[in-house]
Amino acid sequence: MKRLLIETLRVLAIGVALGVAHGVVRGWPELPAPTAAATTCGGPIAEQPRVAWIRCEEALPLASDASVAFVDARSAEEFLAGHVTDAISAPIEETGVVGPAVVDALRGSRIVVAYCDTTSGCARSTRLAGLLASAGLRDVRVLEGGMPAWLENGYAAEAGP
Amino acid sequence: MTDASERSAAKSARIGAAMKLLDTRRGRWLVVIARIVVGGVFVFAAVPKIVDPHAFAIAITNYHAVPDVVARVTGAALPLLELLVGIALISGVHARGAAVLSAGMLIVFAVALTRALLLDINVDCGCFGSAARSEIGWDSVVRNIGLTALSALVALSPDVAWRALLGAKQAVAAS
Repeated sequence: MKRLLIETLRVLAIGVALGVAHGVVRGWPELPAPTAAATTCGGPIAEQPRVAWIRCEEALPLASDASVAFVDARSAEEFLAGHVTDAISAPIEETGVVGPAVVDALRGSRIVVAYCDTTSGCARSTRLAGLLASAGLRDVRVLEGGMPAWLENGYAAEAGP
Repeated sequence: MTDASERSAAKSARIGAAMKLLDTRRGRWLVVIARIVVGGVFVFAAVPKIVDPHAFAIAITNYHAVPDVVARVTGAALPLLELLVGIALISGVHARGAAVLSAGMLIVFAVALTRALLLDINVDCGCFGSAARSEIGWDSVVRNIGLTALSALVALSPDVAWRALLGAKQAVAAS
């Protein structure tokens, strides 16, 4: 028993020393700064994940960046009527959850921008962003002003699927 | 003899019987397989986390169970401990001590997974870093419990070194 305890403590001490050295040499991982909290709308998330807001003028240059994905939280009908070019549809209000297909499609993206209309202060997009952040996506942001602000600025949009 | 001391003696006898069973040829092979399985899983889980500690730290924060500073330190340090434990288990050097640590880590992971599942937190497991993304489920908890049992087997075995197998073969040849 004593030998087992000594072995355990040795492995633990060396492992912790290596881990700390790794953190010091490579730097401790930075976490995204907390900003806006996602609304839960009585949904399944017990605690609020962190997502950041993004303004329309900041989002515009990202629209042409292949590593950035736009995701539309509105209904399928609203999406068909007009959406940010190349955006993915994730009608959160209809399904209540984010499908694995949507999460998988967004996995490779450096930044994910969620948007809806401005109903209840972007409730659908903040909820969608919260769910995506909870699903492990690193950098999820919510578009301020949503689709109305995007169109008001005359930024690229398309209709259809 | 009091009840307590009787219970303690019975427990010691059971552990002694289990250790004796693990000292047979089959028992030693079982321990080697357990070592390789648990060690292999730990090495496989550690490497992607070492490559991308940022993703692992975020996976930890998504559980909403520890402060950010703990997630940052754990995100960088824990994968190295996992790697060392995995290597120790596979190599047989300090494998019993490593098995105690692997059992401890697996129990902590199982508790975190269970808590997230009970709270309905829709979160990526983070179990294997960014190498294999998957949503958490009760299957992850069952896997951790199974690996904990294998770790306990290694920790309880009297001799886990590779030479133990050789010794078993010699014993069989002699008989």
